[in-house]
Amino acid sequence: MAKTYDYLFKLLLIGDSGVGKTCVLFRFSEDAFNSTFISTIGIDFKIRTIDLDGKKIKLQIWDTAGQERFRTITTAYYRGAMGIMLVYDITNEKSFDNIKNWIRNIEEHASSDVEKMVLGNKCDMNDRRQVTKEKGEQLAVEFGIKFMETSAKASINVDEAFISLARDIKVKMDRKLEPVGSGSRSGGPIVPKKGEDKPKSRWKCTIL
Amino acid sequence: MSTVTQDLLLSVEGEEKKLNAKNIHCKVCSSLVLLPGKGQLINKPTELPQVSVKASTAGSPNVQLDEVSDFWLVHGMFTFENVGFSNAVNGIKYLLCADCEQGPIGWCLDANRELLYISHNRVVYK
Repeated sequence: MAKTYDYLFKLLLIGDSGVGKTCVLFRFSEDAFNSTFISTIGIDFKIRTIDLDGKKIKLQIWDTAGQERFRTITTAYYRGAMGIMLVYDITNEKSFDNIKNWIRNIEEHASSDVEKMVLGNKCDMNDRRQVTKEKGEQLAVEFGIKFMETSAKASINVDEAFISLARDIKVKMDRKLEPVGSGSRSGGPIVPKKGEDKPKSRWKCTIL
Repeated sequence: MSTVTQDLLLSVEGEEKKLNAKNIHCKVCSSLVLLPGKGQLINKPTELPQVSVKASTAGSPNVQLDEVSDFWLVHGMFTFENVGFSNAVNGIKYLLCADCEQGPIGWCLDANRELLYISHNRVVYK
């Protein structure tokens, strides 16, 4: 069957438990379907389709549910990831403080060119806020990562966040696919640039 | 006896396959699951767990099964617009709505994610 999309990106959601990572993937109240067959056995991943500048992009999104402690997440988990959403809960300062540990964990174990984004979730719960938006922005500037406050429950910025991350990955990928200048082919062995073909080949191994 | 009515089927000249003529959506939240022409109607009697789990007196969840026959066969998981995959149970992964997470709306073998089945009874058409 013909390929029905232009790009395929593998994304991970990471952050402390209880920050609503699962809900970032889902528009409705977390309690709506609690005692169902699906919630009993758990979700592995989701496929989502977005449109970006007229290109059809498939996102395959994993959640770290069940293995939230950053110490337990190592290289195998990050393999093939092209984008990572770091999620904290604006009503839980501890989850925000831990973002730095998560970033360190990513730097240690993930591919160095993985795109990252920080999300302050539950921004509909302003009355219980413990982390100001400014603190979130500051952290993002410090690490050179994009930042957004989201509310999965109120559908604020969730789609925008995924589109923004996907756009950054696409820009990076398009740049890599640009033809190399003619000069580089004259003589000498062809040495691939560091990390140039890694995302694609790794990606293949991890789908199935 | 299939309950799939003719208006749900794409009529393709000289084509034996019965393809879905309409968008397939989640029954609960209307999330778009599959575009027209991407699913092939097949008859495949299967026992599919019911959406809700009844608490049993023994403490373990009591899963009720429905006998389901009409499925849309989909080739490749990236053919879907939006769909979720459960963890595997006895070699089977169940499909769910990517937005509201209700399901199972279908299934596939954990070892073969090229052939996926969406239950006609558990989706709506638009």
